[in-house]
Amino acid sequence: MKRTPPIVLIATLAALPLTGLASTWSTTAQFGQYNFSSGGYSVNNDVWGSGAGAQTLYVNTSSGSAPNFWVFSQQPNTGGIKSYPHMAKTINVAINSLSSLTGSYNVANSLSSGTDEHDWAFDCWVPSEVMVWTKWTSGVGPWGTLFQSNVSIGGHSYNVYQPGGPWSFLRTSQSSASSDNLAAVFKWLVSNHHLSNGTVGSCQYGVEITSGVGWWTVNSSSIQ
Amino acid sequence: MKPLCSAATIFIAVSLFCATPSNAATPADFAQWQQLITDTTKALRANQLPDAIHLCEQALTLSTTFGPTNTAYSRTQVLRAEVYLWENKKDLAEQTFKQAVASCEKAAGTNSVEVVHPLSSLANFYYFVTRQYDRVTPIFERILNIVQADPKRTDRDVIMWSRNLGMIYQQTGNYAKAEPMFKRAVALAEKDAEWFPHELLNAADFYRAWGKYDQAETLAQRALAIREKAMTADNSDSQLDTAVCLNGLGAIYLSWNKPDKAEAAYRRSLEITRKFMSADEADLIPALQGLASALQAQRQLEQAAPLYQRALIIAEKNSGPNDPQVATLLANYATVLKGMGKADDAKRMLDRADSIRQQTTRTE
Repeated sequence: MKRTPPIVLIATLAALPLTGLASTWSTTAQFGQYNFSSGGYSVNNDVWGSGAGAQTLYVNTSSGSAPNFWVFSQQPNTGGIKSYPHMAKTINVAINSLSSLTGSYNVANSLSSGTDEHDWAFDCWVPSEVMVWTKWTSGVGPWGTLFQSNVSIGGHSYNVYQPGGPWSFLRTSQSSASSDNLAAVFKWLVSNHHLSNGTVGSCQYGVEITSGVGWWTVNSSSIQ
Repeated sequence: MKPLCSAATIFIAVSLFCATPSNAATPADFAQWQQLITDTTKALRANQLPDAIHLCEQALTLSTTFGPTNTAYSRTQVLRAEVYLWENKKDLAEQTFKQAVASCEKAAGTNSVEVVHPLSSLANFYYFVTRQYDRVTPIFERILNIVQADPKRTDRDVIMWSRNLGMIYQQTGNYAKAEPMFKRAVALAEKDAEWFPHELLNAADFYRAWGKYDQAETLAQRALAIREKAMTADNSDSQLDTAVCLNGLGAIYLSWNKPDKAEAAYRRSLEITRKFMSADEADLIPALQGLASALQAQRQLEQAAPLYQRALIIAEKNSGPNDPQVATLLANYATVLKGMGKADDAKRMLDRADSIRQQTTRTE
């Protein structure tokens, strides 16, 4: 769903964390989406979970090369992911043709009330789903079985979970400001015969919010 | 109340297990059923929960016509249970996972490897959704028995389920039952060059947790020897593998009250990672924290203090100023400062640690 044109909400700027006086687009629409005019990124509100509360997405419209966006989300203390505000980019390159694909991020969250449960993660379709978890709270976990622990891939160590569910790579040292070598993750799956050499389609980065009331902020993010 | 698993995880699970045609279904019926399953997952991806429910119910109805030995009905029940989780209907999800196990047993036989799928889904529900580890244990035991008896099993299947069962036993404090599981995983992995060092390290950490340090040390040293042999200057992952082993060894020595040996292990780990890792990576924290603890245990407080400081800076950068990990580092740093006679500084660190912990408690 394409939303045009960007709306400048000067009144909201004073309340927003970690941003300057950039043009800000915002939406409360369940699946509101902002498309940057260059850079190939979109940012999505993506409030899909059952019993989800309100969520407002703000996008710094001048951050097209490394999307800066944030949400104020009000999610009840019930189980289940309520939303996945995220940036997305379509790659369309076969895994074995990838010379590099690095996901970088700088994120923060600030809770006003409630129980904070969330996970920051890349979610890529290659074409089956592969997730790379970068930081998460103690009450969430991947769906699946621990396949192998402490696997070194692309300069970081991961615990790897296998299907049911997607292949999930959980950083053994979590970070809110780092980068992950996504190409190395996909190539690890191919070289270990867990994945055929598919095409990397859409790659996303954002936060799966389960519960809590507060701000979740992506100061900057990129997949390139 | 604990949240559910990552939402995005559910989509692929069913399609992976739907690839095998079922023997009693006509090709047209089976194709229609597969399409319904695909459409259900598509509807979930498109955030159309009512459509997903409707499609899944259709798939369920169709799969009942496939004959008594067909597991399509069970597979569809697993998907329906996962849709219930999306609806936040945990009781119905649990009930449906159980029904999926029962119908699979009826269709394929109690000990068929087909039953592993609904069983592991039910175990995931207890592990990730309700955190009832005592309920996971018998399911994992049963899965391991099934996998071991399966003529088509691979060693990795048995290794994985043995080790994971061992981890559940460990998590529930049943160390004596866990030990043979880890031993089996190590023994089977010995022929598997890629998995062997991982399983050695898993077992080493188990023995460390159990307080059997000499066994832990032997296993970790074996893992380290393998990693050192494979380490090359142009492969940072091979260097990280070695550093991870050294960190594991350091943790064993710290628990064993051999801080001088822990110090040597952590120093070497840091020396290796320094060559390829930027100075503010979160992966450095375990070695920095471990080395600081080792030095603190040897009363070398002046050396320990800057390491805690550096670990703190990295943790704050990577996790934010109010993360529980930061609180732990602040508290440890405070004990060093107190030992150095800097009571005011120590109190400031402790106050900050308490403040973080209170915030964490308030929001949980």
